[in-house]
Amino acid sequence: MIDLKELLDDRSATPAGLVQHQRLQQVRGRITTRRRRRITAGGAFAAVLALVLTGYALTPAQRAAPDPATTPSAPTLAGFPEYAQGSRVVAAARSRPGEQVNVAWTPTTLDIALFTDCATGQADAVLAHEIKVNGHLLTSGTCGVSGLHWPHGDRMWAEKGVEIGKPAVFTMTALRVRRTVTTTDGESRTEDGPVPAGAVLGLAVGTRLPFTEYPLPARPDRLPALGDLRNGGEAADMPGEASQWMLSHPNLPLLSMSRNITWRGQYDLRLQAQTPGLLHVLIDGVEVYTGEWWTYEANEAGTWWSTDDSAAWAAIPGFTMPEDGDIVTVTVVPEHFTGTWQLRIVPLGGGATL
Amino acid sequence: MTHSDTFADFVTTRSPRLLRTAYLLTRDWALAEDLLQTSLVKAWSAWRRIDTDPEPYVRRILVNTYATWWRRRWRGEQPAAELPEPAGSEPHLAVDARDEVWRALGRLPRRQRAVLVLRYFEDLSEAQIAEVMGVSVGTVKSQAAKALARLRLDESLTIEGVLR
Repeated sequence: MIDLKELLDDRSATPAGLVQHQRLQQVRGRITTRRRRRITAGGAFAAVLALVLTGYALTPAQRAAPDPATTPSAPTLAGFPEYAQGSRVVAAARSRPGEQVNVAWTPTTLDIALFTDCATGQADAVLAHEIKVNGHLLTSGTCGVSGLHWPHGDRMWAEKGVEIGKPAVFTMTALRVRRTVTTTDGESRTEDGPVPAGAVLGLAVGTRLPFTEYPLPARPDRLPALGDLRNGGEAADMPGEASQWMLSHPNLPLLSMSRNITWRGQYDLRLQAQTPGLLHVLIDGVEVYTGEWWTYEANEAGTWWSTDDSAAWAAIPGFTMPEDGDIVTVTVVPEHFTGTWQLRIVPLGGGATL
Repeated sequence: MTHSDTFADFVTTRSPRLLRTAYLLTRDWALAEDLLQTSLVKAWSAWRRIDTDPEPYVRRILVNTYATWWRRRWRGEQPAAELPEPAGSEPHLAVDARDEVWRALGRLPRRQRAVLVLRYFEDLSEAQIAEVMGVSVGTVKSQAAKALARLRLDESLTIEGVLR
């Protein structure tokens, strides 16, 4: 007789040498990845939605039943609004269906922003693309993530032959169409396919403006409330996290604040503000990131860093890489705000212990 | 203790047992670890809402994830009509009945295999299995009966009444 219970117990005996002590850390890593995907997907969706809405607002002539022209439309260039996200669009073009798009421009500054806008002709699909400048790959991604810019990009532009006063050509090419599919068990995944023949690409080059020169929208009578800065959809900390929060002084929104953190692992920063303004994030006195708000919509901004990504840190002028385990000071310097702002620092990965 | 603390404690102390369950379902230690970690990640999303022993909840996620995994891309699993021969087996050697039963278990449909694992390894009652799998007690009974019948009818098993 074979005892099934005994057989299963015997066969499932854990083999000697099977590593199990890393499971907790690996699970935490998976949770982090899942949350980052949600953030990315949410951000991309928001960007696409914003572009769709912007395009709808700016192209009344193409709608079947246009609204009465009670308000003059904002100026546009090839369908891109002249002013967006702290930049002024100076050159833009749209492709014919199925073709790539080229934008020629002679730089007057190297503080450059790029905007993209695409149409696939297919529902729930976006275009994966790449952008080259002077034949050098500049960036790739999913079309609709607008407002790309490179705060410390001088050396990068030089490597790609982009100089002030020298004509440059930006080229955008569609690589494939991508759609998100939800499976029957609620998981989602992306599927790639060939570029549709009717796909249209839009690319705009903008120059970054000083805050005081950017035309801000009118201040609303009532400012929107700040949210709870969800990280990957979660308001609470994950296992091993111990978020640090900074909230602007109730009466002095331009007051700087500091927190000490341990230089180890990865960190997520989530930021939000009620009014236009800039949040400069400094590590030991060197600016590493700037959160920007150009509207009164209380949008969230965010960034993340890995403390062992030496190449990324080396690109920041004046920044000296701390040693693993060092205590560093994160300082937030607000600028131009007339309302509340908040910041959440979330430690991820090896920087936290359970 | 915070939710983070209880989750960490659960992963540390309770997951080795769940790994064995996952192995009996997947029959591969790497896939078992993958299945277990996937289930733990899913469980964390609802951890704050669990106010009783979380193990039945995690086990339920694990079993149902396993049962529906075929719908998803799963890099590690390659469907095979026949299970590979166990290492060291030779045709001229006497048939190891326990080994044959183990191999026959691997040929069972996933839900039937899950029922047997929950019944004979986890020692759950039919009602508990029904709760874990989200089916009726009658379905559990029928799935268990079919699973045992398939084992008894499996042509590789030549010994009558190998199960009890």
